[in-house]
Amino acid sequence: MLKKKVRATGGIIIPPLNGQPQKIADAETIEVPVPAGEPPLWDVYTRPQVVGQPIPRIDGPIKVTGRARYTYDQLPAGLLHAVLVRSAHPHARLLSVDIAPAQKMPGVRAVIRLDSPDLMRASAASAAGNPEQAAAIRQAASHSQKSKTMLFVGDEIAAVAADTLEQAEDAARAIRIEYESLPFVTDVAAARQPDAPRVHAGQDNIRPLPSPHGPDGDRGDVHEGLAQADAVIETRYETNVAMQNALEPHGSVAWWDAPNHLTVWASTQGIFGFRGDLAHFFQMPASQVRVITDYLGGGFGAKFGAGIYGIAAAWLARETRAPVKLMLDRKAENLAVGNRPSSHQQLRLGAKKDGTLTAIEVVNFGTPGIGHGAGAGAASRRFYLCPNVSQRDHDVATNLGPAAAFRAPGWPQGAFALEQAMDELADKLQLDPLELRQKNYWDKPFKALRIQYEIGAARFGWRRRAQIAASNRNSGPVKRGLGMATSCWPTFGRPPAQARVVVHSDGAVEVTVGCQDIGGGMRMIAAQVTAEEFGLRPHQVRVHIGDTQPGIYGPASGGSVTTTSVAPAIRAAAYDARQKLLAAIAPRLGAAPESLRLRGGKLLGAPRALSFASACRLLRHATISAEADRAQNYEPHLTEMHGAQFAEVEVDTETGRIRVVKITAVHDCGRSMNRLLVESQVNGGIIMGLSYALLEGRVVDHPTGHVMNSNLDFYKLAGTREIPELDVVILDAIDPRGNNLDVKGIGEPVIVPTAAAIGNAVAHALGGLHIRELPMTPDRVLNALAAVRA
Amino acid sequence: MNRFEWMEPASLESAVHGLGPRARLLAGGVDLLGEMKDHIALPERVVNLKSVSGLDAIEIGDHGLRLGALVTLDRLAAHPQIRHRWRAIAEAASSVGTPQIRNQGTLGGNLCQRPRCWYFRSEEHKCLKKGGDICFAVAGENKYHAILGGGPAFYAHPSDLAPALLVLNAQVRIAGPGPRGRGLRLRTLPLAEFYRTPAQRLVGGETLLSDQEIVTEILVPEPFGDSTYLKFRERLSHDWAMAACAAQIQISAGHIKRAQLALGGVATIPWPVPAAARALAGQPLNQATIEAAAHVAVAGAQPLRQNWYKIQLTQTMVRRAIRQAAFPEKADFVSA
Repeated sequence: MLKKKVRATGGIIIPPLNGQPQKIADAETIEVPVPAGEPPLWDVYTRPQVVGQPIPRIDGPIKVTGRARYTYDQLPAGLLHAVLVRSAHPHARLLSVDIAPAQKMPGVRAVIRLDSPDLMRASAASAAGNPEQAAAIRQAASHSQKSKTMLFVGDEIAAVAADTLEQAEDAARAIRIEYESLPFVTDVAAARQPDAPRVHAGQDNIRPLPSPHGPDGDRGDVHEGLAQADAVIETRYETNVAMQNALEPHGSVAWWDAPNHLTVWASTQGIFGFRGDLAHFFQMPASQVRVITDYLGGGFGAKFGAGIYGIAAAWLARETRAPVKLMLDRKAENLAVGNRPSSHQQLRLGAKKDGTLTAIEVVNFGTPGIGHGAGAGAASRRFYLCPNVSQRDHDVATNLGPAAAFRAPGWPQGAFALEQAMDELADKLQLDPLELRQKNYWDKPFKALRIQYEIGAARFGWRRRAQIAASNRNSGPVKRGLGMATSCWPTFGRPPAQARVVVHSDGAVEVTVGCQDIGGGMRMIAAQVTAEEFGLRPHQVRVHIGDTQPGIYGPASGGSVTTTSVAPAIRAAAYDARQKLLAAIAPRLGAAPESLRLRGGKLLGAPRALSFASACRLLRHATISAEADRAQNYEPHLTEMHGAQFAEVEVDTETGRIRVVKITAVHDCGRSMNRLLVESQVNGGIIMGLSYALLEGRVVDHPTGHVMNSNLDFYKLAGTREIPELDVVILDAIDPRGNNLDVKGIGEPVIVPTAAAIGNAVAHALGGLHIRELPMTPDRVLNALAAVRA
Repeated sequence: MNRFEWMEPASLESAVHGLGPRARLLAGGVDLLGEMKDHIALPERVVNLKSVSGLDAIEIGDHGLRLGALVTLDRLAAHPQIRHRWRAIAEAASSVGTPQIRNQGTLGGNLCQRPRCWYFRSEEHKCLKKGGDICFAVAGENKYHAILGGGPAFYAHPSDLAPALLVLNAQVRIAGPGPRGRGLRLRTLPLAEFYRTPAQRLVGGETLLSDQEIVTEILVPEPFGDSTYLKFRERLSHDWAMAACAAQIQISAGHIKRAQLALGGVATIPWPVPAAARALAGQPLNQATIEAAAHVAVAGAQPLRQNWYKIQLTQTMVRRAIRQAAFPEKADFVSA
């Protein structure tokens, strides 16, 4: 594609802080290769009127008043209710599945079996975000009559649809299943033994994961690096499996509104992936499947694809010729549809006396259950400028529900270990932990981290550290501690993504995008970006999202790509529509299009000022419509998003309670589209990270292979009383090499450092004693203290 | 949930006669509904006690406090005189669950709730408490389980109100069928005699109640001292006790004249610790006395593999509860 070189200035915009006015730091002017057709570049000096403003989200009121209708709320006339029947055994062959008793139960409309191997495996792979793998399985699968082997408690066997949910549940329990129990293993250490039962027939339980090599991957020679070091620390950290527990469970409401047309409301992070899975399964054109996600009650990486639940709902709807609702219950959520894998990490860090890192080595074993992908992310490779890095990850298969992507997959585990190892190294070198990080700073274009460290440390009062450590020696049982950790997340946003903007002759402006709002506030962002181009207020723009029907493509919301991929397409479409509008009306005003401007709801530059609506009336009955595709990132290699979080904790050494008093978080996501929305993402990420640090962990009864805490009584999520004071600062790290809004994502980088920062603060409070396992519950704190005393 | 018959008795007598081996009593329903949804309770009949009038009164008279079994936890927590004179009750009530649960949950229900052991609550685990032949906690996940009063089962009793009422010498009034199964018989006994360890009773409940008996009222005498209930929750926002201690203490001239202590969350029943109370009585109120009481409070503890920490945690709760009861006006100590 034709590109032209455009000069633009990047840099870090520091918001007004402590009475200081807004500042621009590290400004640098570069030439950017911009594809033809892109709107004018924005840079660090651009002052948008609407974009970036902290305006409350347009769908806030209908969400908090209960008027927003989520998938769970869809109740079409004649709706049937469906439930899934699941394996009660961790590893078993199905000898027989007798559905006849269920079929005779009151209200039952259909019972289907889901235990053919092709269906089950393909659907599971799809839901885990591996459509290619799912397609390959479907291609390869014969229509075998052999029943699938149950691999974990919660594996799907059958589905029932009935007039009421209660009837469906009763009928599900009436299905008679005979199992032949097989040897199983759920404990990671046991699964690593050579004589352990095999989780997947004929495959080793341990599977090494590929290690990328290169500047952002494994590099150098860690043995050499360790040999060059003046100080080496060797340490270990473990993290537990964490559950996703989105407020709205997985599921859908499916309805064949014509014999060959399927409409589905789905609680999904990817309406097009969901649609593709259903079209594949039913062997029908994708255009005949419509997937709608008006409002999504949360998704953290486990809601890609239709899954077995989505296919079962559509299948039952076809069997019964009625709409069918199949939403998972909380137990199924916690057994079968994705979790954050565990990690058991051994680390070696080497450094020179002055703190310069010479080696980082990580060896990690984690369990993804029957799924895959238990790597510990890339903190070791991306956080610091270290010439010698090696991380070897291994999946350890166990007879438990599969892992899925979960908000920054792998990185919270990796950061928890690496960032505490960094503090251990700092202790050994008698350096301040923040100083050690600054010493190993990896400079990159338009990277805000150096400033984030400085701002965070100043606001948080990092200098109190020595004084707090001293006063802990004379205090009572409650010790105070300060800790911090680094965050980083790569910029994954890219094409494809599309947007369409339509201007009507009464001044109504509509924007359509094909993504769903995972909670980041896509409706608001779309409205703001569109309003900016037309000089309107965001509430004057009507936004259509979460529907495959218009054929405007949007990406699945994963990898913090939604805004980064979609918003630049919106700006391109809005800019194009504006140009078309001005070109259409200029002749009627006797003006040149380039002299016209849209601002403050008015058309300016014409002989007389017109309101926007009056200007549009010059179209008579015509409409203006423009579609745009997301352009390629202007440069292929973009700097990551960064952040630093500082935690202040109190540790009660007589009860083991860790109370987080305050977290200061300084982050960037390129140019923030709406400061309130960004802060909301940061708040949510910190709370989720705190919950992971202090409370959350799957508990498995290894003798029986059952998950014991598959409900929200026993699986403890942080509540209001766990939430500390949150001090959030957002910098705009303007990197003009990316896209026409300089925007990056924020959903994931905010959870990466939280547990590590809390862990370091706890160690500071306890005189250097690190709690090496997540969650850091009172029993673990008391046990660690007792071990030191012994 | 199974299908069941719904009964709305108009009187206590018909409630009692509506009960039986296959029926369950419903008050707030917080616990029963969960048991039924988890398929560990399959009653053929549910008897709604709320249709019987007169069981939700709070009365304060010459002989102390009378609390109807249907008084909600929220009312106990908010009652000014209870907060003032029987503080342990108000503190225990306010420590339960969430505001929604406290609005719905009742005093009687809190005292009679079933264990929160995750094996007991799991349909797939046919444990000793459900007529099976194994306590899965012994070889399994037992971090939250009992260190006192265990064997052959090791669940921890979840009631917060019971330890508080124990140290306040409460009595429990029980209605049951009269002679030859006709009419109504009322009996009153100390709450300290109400509970049954798993060695005493394994299946059906954790109290001496027969399947036709109903707790109707709790009687609490005038307190002899200041009382408190201190509860350690792993999750502050909503949790059962990991360890808790209730205390009633009378101080005179720097000495402890009289004391009562009881533990929650660490034993198979709400656990009175008379030996700890004796260690306090007559002693000067100082660190050594408090340590001695904390030491004997956990005498005989038999931790499982994952709950050794409960010994130290319990001792901490005992020490802090004693200080909190002894110095109710001071807030300079560390709480739970």
